[in-house]
Amino acid sequence: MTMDFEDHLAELRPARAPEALWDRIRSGKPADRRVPSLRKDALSIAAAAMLLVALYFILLPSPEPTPAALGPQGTAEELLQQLKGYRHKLVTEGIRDGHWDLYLLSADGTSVVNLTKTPDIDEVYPKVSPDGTKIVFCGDEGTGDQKARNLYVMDIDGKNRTKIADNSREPCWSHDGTKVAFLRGEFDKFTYSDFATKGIFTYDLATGQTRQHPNKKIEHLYTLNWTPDGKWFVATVHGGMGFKHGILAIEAEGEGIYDLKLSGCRPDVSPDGKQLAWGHGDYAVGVADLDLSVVPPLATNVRNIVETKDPMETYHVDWSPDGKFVAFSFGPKMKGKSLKGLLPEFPGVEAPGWNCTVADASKKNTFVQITTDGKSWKEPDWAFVK
Amino acid sequence: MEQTLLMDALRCEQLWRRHADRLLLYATTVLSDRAAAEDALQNVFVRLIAAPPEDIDSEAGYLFRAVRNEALNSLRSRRLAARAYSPLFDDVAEDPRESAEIRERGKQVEKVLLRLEAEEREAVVLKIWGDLSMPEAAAVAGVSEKTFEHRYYRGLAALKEKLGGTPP
Repeated sequence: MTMDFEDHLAELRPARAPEALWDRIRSGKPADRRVPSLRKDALSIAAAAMLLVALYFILLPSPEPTPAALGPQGTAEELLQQLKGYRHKLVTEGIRDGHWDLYLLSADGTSVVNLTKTPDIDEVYPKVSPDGTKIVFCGDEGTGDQKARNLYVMDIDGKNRTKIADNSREPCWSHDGTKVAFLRGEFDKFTYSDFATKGIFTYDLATGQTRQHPNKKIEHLYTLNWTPDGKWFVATVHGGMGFKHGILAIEAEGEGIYDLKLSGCRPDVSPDGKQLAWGHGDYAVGVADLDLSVVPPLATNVRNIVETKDPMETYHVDWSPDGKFVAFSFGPKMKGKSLKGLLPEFPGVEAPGWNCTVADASKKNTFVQITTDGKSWKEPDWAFVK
Repeated sequence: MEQTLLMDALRCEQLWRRHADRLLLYATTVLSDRAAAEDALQNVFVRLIAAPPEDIDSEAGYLFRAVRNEALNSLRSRRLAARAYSPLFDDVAEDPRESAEIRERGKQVEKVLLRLEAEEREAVVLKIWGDLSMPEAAAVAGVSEKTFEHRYYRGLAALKEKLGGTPP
C-alpha cells in the first residue's frame, strides 16, 4: 500500500462536530433516548398494521410457558439515574500502568477510590463481607518461580491488611462474615488458570485456624460461593471429580456433590439464597430459582436477564445486597490473539475494553456500563453500605 | 469544590475541542447514524464531566474506547433506524473551487467507506482519521496489533480498489 493513498485519505478532514452538541453536553444531561419513528406515509402505516396483525396471530396461540416474570426493558439512562441514588457500592479489580489494584466506586461508577496502591502486589478477585466492612482478595506477588497468588483480608477502606493463606484463590465469605472459604492452588508454580485448584478450606477470622473440607477429593473448582444457610458450597467445576464442566452444589459438611445442570459457569448465589445468577455462556447472564432445601438441590425457572452478541462477553456476575441489581464484567472477546491458555475472564489477565456494568435484575437487557475507559474492570463485587 | 468542577469542565472542553470531530466521525461510522453518534458523544462527555478519571494514559485512546463502548451499548440497546448521513468530511476550503473538489472527494470516499466490512471500516477510520498509532488503535478495537494491521490493510486495499485504484 503506498503512503500516497493514505496521505490523500488523511487530507480529508472529519466534519466539524456541531457547537450545539457541546452546549447539550455542558447542560450535563445525557442524551434523550431516540426511538426510531415510523415514516408517516401510507405505506409505512399499512406495513406496521400488517406486522401487528401478524404478531397478534403469532403470539396469541403460543403454548410455550413463560419462564419468568421479567419486566419490560428499561433504558440505560433510567437505570443510571436509579444507580445515582443507590447507597451500596462496588469493589472491582482494574489495571493501570501495568499494576492491578482494587477500586471502590459508587454504583453509578463515580467516586472511584484506589484501595490498594501497591506497586509490588497485584490485587485481584475482591469479595466484600456481607456486612460491607471487610474485603478478602487475591494478591499476586513475587516474580519468576517465586510468583504466588496468596489471600489477604483488609478493611473496606484498604487498611489493616492481613495475609490469611498462601497459594490460594477464589475466596468467599460465610453469611455471618466470621469465616472465609477458599480453594488451594493445585500447583506450587503460579498459574492464572482459575480452575487449577485442589480442595476447599475455611479460615476462621477470630481464631486464625484453617480447616479442610471433609471431602479431600475436591478439585478443579472455581468461583466458590457459600450459601447463606451455611450448608452448601456452589462453584464451577472444570474437568474434575467426574464432571466435565458445570455448576455444582457441594455439601459444606458432607461428601455430597450435585450437578445443578446449568450450562455455563461462575455462579453467584443471591443474598437470600433463593436465586442463582451465572454466566449462561459467554454472552448472557442467566438467573435461576434455587431450592437448597431439597437433595439434590434444584435450579429451575432459567431465564436470561442480559443477552449480548459476539464479540461482547459477560462474566463475573454478582448480586447486589438487596437483589435488585447484578454487576458483571462486560467486554470484547479477544479474537485472533495468541492467548497461550490465558483468557480475559481469568483474574489478573488483562482484558482491554472490559468495563464494570450493572443490570436491573427484574428486567431484560436493561444495563449500563458504569466504567468506560476499558481498563480491565473485572470481578465487581457489591459492598453493603448501611 | 466549585473550583474543581470548573477546572474539570474546562479540561473536558479542551478535550472536546481537540478530539470531537474525529470522535464524531468514528461514532458515525460505527453506528451508521449521525444523530445516534452525537448522542453517544454527548453521553461520554457528560459522564466525563460528572466523573473525571483519575489519570489517563492517552487522551485519544481513552476517548475512542469510551465512545466505542457507548456506541456498542447504543447499538445493542436500541434498534437504530437507518438515517441519512450528514457528510462525514469537512468540505470547507479557502478557494470555492477547491471546496467543490474536496466535497466531491469526500462524497466518493464516504460512499465506499460505508460499504466496507464493519471491522475494516473501523480500522481505517481509527488509523487515518482517528490519528491513532497502531497500538493505540488496536487497543481501542480490542484486538491484537497483528489482527488490527490485517484489518487495516484489508480495508485500505478494498477502499483503493473500490475507488478505482486511484487516490481520492
